[in-house]
Amino acid sequence: MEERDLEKQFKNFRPQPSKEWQERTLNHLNTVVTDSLNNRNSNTNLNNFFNSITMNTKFKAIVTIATVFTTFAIAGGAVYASNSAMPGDFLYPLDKAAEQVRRTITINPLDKAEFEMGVMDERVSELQKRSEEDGTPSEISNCMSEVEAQQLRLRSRLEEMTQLRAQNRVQAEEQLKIMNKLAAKIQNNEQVLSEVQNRLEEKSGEATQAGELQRLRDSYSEDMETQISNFEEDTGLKVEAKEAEQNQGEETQNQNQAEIKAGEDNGEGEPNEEVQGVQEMNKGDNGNR
Amino acid sequence: MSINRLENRQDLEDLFKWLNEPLYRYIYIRCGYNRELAEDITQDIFVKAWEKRSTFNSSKSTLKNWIYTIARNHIIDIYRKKKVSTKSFDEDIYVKDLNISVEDEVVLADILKNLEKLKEKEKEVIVLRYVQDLDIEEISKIIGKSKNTTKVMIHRAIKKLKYIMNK
Repeated sequence: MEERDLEKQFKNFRPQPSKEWQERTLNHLNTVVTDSLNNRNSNTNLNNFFNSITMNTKFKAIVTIATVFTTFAIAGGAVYASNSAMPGDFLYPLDKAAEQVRRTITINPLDKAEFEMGVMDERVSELQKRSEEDGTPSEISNCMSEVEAQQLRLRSRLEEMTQLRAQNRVQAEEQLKIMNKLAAKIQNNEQVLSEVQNRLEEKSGEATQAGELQRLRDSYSEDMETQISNFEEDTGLKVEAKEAEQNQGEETQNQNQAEIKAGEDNGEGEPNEEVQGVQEMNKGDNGNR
Repeated sequence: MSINRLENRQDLEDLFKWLNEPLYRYIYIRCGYNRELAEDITQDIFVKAWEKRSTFNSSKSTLKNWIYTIARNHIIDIYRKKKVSTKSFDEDIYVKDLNISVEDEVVLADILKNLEKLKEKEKEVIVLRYVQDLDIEEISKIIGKSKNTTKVMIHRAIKKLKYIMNK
């Protein structure tokens, strides 16, 4: 048998569906079309109903603004509330998350170091508050762990700052301001940690934890003092425990006060040039009168 | 009749009148020569075509090829779910009422019997080419192969059928 024969025989094979089936199916398809069109109309009506409510431009704008405002208000409120949260509290992870966001968006190495110093203060305050509230050993231990972790983070930021100074990417004078602040904060934090330690020692059964805190305090002091002494050796600058900007203001104020006092005293002695000039102007004023 | 759109009731009716017989035939052969099953499946194909009409793109395919592709995929699904029970070929049933000579009935019955010995893919291309009278390009689009590959597949399938028939 050849292909041509096969082709011819296949052409003979024309089985037909029944007429009845064809009519039945046509009716069925009509029903399917009718149903689908009805569904589409009802869907369209439903869409129109929702559209009339939701697609109104003013309504959409109001809903959007309200949603955004509410979201920010809730999120902002939660973050604010979390700021006073303590380790183990429900909102504490949010507080840490907010810190992490600040860490991520802070680019300047000096700002980074200053930020970590602030967080260290917060961790020490949390420990203090817990001890004042007669926190359980576990709660106190959590707070101490947080202080220790923050100490490591702060140290790493200070080291980073020192490295950048060695690469001339941070000025020694700028770093000095941070180190001055650090020195002041060390004193404050040591004081607070010492108070907490005393409180723990007074409480019966907390001697071990007091010992741990002693070790933590020594480690913190030693760590930070090392940073300061390294800085002084490298730069030849002298670190003083003071809040840089505030002390600058105080220094200026003190200097002014000293000059004023010197001016008053110089009524009898030799006035300095500036004070002398002012006095001469005053004399001129008096003469005119 | 030839239409290339499916947008309203009339289009569906025209499509049905145009292709219900060839589609039925294709399904009838592919689904074990079971008349009732072929009718049910053919009806399902037209319903499916209407439901999926929004996916038909006349710039990419003809309506005829598109509905054959739906039918083919539907049959593959049926086979996958093993809904088709393959009957033994019975010439008394399958070549009746064809308005052909008794001699041709015998020959055709023999051909169809041997067609069942081919692989499903070989059977498919023979049916599309010789029973459905589709050209190479149409078949290639339905089975998703290139024209050359399709041509080779048909050639090999028919050669194999001839070999079995002449054995």
